Amino acid sequence: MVVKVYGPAYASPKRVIVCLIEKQIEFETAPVDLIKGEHRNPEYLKLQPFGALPVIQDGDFTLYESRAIIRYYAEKYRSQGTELLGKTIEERGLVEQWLEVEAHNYHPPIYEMTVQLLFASKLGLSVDEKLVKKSEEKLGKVLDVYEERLSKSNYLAGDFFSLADLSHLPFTQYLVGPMEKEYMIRDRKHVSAWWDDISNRPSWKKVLELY
Amino acid sequence: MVVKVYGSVKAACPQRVLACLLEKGVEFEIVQVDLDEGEHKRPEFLLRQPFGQVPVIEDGDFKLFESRAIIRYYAAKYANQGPNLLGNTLEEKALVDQWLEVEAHNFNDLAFNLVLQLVILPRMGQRSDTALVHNLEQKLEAVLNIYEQRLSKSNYLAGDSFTLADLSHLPALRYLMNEAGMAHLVTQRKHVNAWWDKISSRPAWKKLASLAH
Repeated sequence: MVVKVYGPAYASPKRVIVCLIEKQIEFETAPVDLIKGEHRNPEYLKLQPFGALPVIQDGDFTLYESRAIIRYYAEKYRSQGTELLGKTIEERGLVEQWLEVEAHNYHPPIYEMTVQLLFASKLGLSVDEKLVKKSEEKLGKVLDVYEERLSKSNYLAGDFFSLADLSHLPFTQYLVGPMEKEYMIRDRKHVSAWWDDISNRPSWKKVLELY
Repeated sequence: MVVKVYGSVKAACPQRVLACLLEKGVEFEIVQVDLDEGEHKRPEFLLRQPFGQVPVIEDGDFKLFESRAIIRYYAAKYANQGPNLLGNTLEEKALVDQWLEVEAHNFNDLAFNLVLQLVILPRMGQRSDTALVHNLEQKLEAVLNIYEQRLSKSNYLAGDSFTLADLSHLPALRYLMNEAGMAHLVTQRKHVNAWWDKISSRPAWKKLASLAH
């Protein structure tokens, strides 16, 4: 029985999919159309009561929140595929630290920009330019901290690729692609090198090819 | 060597860490960071936490920030001491992480912004935004309705034992129910109320509350 991942067209489910590919775990996907409001259907809300994407079903086990899902699979399949949690509990602590940084400092502004620049018009709303500008400024300050960090280590948690780096892939891809703000990455030498490294991993290239 | 916790005993995010250390019986020392004075935004502090946020811990040479990373670290490091805060199986642990993420993404911002509007801004002599408060309250009611559903099926968020997922809610809930005057959000929901009574009666939390308030 394979893991089923809901909503592969969107960013947060891709966080899960790239992790499954890194860990060599077989999976299948089920579409959920946000524009049609399918995430608010009663059947979907039974799986994910907050109406957010993704949710996974693995046999009898249902789990939601992408960062919980990636931690689960990274640990459950520790002995296969790429090691994504570091080697010691201190390294794991640093992975958790930078995963939390992504969730609390990186994600909020980039998510606002995504909603405004990529989804507002699809939902029949006008773009809030002030909010976009404010979010871009906030994101820029976060990227400045990343620039400093990545001048000292190759990846966020240390000199090893981990869930902390992986977690940044989907929304940063939106930033450099359809949002046309690649300069935010390229203007920062170490962030730029880090982005080239992580976005060229075969797993991420596979995600972009499939979805 | 005791763990140094940089922050204030009254601030919500450091309290998340302190509650965990008290549950696990890990000795700590609080190093005061004066948030009112903006100490957390000064260069010396930014060397410890580049985003200018509390808490930070120093445990010998090991330094860590982000409260939910710190509590996961200590719950794992001291797995064999004090109550088990991470579940017994990988699936139980995944549910702990799921509800920790729910707290972080669905609960915390609403709770924090309500406390900001109702407690912090008035304390600073600033007006709060009534329409915003109403909006936040409505959203938080919708979230707590989901918690009510969940807690009608299990005693605690991740299952039938107290875990990090429940612990993580304590600081903001206490502020909401006391200084922010929003106790009705909890007391009007039978299962959420019973859960709150259980988790806030734990000796570790009572000890922290007495240190802090």
